[in-house]
Amino acid sequence: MDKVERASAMKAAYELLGTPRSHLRVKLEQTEDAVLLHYRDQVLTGVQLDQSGINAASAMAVALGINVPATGETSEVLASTGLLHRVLAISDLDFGNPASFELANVLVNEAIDMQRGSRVRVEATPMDLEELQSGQAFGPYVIEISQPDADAYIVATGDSEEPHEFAGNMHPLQLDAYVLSRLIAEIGIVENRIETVHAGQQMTVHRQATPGEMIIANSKLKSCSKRRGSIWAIFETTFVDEAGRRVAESGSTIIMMP
Amino acid sequence: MKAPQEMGEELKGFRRKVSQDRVTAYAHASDDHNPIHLDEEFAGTTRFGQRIAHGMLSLAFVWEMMSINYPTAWHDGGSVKTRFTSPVLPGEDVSVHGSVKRVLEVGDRQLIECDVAVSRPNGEKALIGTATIPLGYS
Repeated sequence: MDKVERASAMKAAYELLGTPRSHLRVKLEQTEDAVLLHYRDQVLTGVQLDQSGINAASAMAVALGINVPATGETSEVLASTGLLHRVLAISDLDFGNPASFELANVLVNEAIDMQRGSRVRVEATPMDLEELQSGQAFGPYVIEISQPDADAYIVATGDSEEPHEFAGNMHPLQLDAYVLSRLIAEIGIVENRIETVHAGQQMTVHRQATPGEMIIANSKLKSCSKRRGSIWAIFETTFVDEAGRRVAESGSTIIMMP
Repeated sequence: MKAPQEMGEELKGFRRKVSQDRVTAYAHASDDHNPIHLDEEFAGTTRFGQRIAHGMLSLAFVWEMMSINYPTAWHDGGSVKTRFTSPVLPGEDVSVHGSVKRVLEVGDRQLIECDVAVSRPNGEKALIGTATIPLGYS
C-alpha cells in the first residue's frame, strides 16, 4: 500500500470513525509486502514493509494490544474508535524522520491508556446485545490499580477501616471486578439500564498482583444463549503480567433481561 | 492457627454487615455502577423490587475466609467456583462459612476441597460453591 492508496483508505476510515463506538472488530493482516488494518471488507490503513513501515506496523500492533501477525495471517481485536484514530495516525508517520518515534510513543501511550481497565471511561456507544456472539473477544484490558484503589477495595469488603488484609498486595478479586465492570459497560448494561443477574463466578489465582503492577486481561464470550427472553452469557478471562506470565483466570455467568 | 485439613472440619468463618454504604463503597472500589445496586427507583422495577448487593461482594467475603484459613496456600493456586443463588439485601447481616468436603491426592500433591457458602439472616444461601486449595506436597 503506497501513500496515495493509504490516503484514500484513511479518508474512508475517518468517515467510519466519525461515529464513536466502543467496539469495532478489526483485523491486522500481514501480506507479502504490507501490513493492513481491516474492518469487515474495508481496509482502514496499511503500511509497506520497508524500514519505516515495519516500525509503524509494530507500533500499530502495540497500540492495538496485539502482536504483528505472521505473513499470510491475521490478528483480530475489538477496538474503540478513539483507539483506532491513534492507530491510523501511527500508520501515517514517516519513521525516516526521527521525530516520528517521539510522536509514535505519545500515540501508543494514549492508545494503551484507552485499553486501560482502571479509571478511564470510554465515552462511546455501547454495543447492541444482538451483536453478542459466542467466541467473541473482549479486551485486552490493561489494568493498573493504584495503592489507594487497592486499599479502597479491601476496606469496602473488609471489617475494618484499615486495609490490613492482603497487606501489600491487591485483593485478587479486584482484577476480575474491574474486568466485569468494563464488560458490563461495553455491553451497555449500565447505560441502557438492562436488568442483570450475576449468576456465577469462578476464579483461580496463580499469584497475587501488587498495586501499580500492570496486568493484562483478555476476555472471551465462551457461550451466549437465549432462554425465555433472557440472554445467558459466560465470559472467560485470563490475566497475565507484562512478561506474559499467568496471574489468574476467571469465569463469569451473567444473565441479562433486556 | 492450623489450616483445616480433615474431612468435615469447619473453616473459621465470620459474620459481616452488608449495609447500603458498603454496597456503594464496593461499587466505587470495583467501578461496578450497575443501577441494580445503587439506584433505588430502577431497582424497584426489577424482579428483586429493591437494591441488591453485588454478588462479587459475597465472593470477596468467601475469599477473605479462605485467606484466613489457608494464608499461604490460598494465594498460590487457590480456586473457587460459586453460584449466586439469592441476592443479599442491603442491611442484612450475612454469615460466611465453610467446611472441608474432601482431601484429594493428585499425583504427589494434596488438594483440599471445601464447601463454602454465604447465608442470609433467614437461612437462605446467597452463595454456594467449592473452593480448592493446593496444600503442597505429601
